[in-house]
Amino acid sequence: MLVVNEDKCIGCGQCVPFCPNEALEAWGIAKVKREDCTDCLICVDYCPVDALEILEGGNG
Amino acid sequence: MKQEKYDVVVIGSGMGGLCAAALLAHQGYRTLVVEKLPLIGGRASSVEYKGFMLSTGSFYVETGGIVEAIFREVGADFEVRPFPVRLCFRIGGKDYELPEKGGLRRLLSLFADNVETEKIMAALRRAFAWKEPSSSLSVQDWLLQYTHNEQVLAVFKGLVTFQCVNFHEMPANEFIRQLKLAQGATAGVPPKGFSTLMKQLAKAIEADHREVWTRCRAKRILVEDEVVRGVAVEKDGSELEIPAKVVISDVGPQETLTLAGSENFERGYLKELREKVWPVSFIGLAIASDRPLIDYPGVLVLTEARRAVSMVCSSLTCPELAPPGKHLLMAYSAPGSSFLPQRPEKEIELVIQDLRDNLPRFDREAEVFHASYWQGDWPIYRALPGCLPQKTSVENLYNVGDGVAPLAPLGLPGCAESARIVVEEVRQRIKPGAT
Repeated sequence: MLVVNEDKCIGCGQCVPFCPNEALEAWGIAKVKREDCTDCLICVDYCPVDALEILEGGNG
Repeated sequence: MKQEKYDVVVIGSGMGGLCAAALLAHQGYRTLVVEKLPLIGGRASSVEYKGFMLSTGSFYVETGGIVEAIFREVGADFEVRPFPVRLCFRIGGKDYELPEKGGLRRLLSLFADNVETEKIMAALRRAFAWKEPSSSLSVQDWLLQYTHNEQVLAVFKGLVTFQCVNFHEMPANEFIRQLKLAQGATAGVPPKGFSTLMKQLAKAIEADHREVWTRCRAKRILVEDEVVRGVAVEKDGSELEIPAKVVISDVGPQETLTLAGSENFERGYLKELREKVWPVSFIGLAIASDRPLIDYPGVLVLTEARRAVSMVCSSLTCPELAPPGKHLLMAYSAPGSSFLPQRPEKEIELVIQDLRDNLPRFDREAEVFHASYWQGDWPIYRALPGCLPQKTSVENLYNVGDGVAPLAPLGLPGCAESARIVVEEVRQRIKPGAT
């Protein structure tokens, strides 16, 4: 499951455009809209500060 | 493990990294650029969102300067549309444009009598031609020696805003240097976005043994006896050691240290880095509307708002940056502090309130659809120019980019200048052709 590491996220918003489902919001620190997120994890690669992380086993 | 040998490995594909790589590749050096993100350009890139082209950092690029010179030298297309470098300040609810020639004196004289105007102009003249002010004073404190006139201060606040640092935090000497460098400068916007511009630079690199790898993360900079030996990277899930004679890092001096291990650096270098390198924070809001929210083609600065907000309707110059029938207004502001941590959510909200108060059609017609808060490891500038040399204390390990910009215009020209300096150094020390 995709989670935002709030200690690392700086709020640059760079991840937002890369989400195909508009499931990321960034007015400051990024937030995942759980109802829209499909855990495709595309966004993870685009975060310049490695703040998007995968929480193992969270979807079970 | 397959090993390829390059003369130079460049970590990071921002303006500094790609300029250095393109120049070296052009001069025959076997050059590899590794970029951890899937896109090149770093904070000088762009991404399409809702039909708008959003920058990852850079707003404009100087034309006729070092960036353009490097593009031309390496044979990269430099497609940039001239952007009107005009500034307009909103003071006391009225908009005042900075006239082109002798503009500052004329503008100041609207708000101050002759004696006061002359006093300020004389101080500026001395700062320009005799001795620049101290770095220990902010522009604000430096000016308060000469005037307390609020409208006059507002004019200067507007000028500093253009430099992306707060009026009360910008060192006075840096303000003067930047003002000098800005004389006669011209600028442009890449109509297809910065990513297209940077792809041209990457294209100029790519040839045999001259490559740009994206999605390739540098894991470690290899150092032996205070001499650089190469880079260990992660590519397609496995680790690869890439030997190289020279490593150029464009990921910021702090990250360079982490990658190479701080134990490999000389103590004095570490101390300088710790004391002098302060990343600059900045806010950028992207606002969509059907009609332009401002009609002014240059930069309009709100000098008396909660935050000094500068606005530019990019789609007036480049309609390509917005979908048909739409306009893009970019609003920029320094947060409460340019250097100290703030609450991003609160800072963004303050800028939106300023826009609401100053743009009559904002509530009815504007949609703020993206917010950027650049800070920390992804700031608007990694440091002010002149803070740290490009050479590290590890032999053949250099930094490029805005963390080690020499005294140059802020932003992209500083990155390009740092690259030019490093390339000259490399040329003097090492011949192309891997052993």
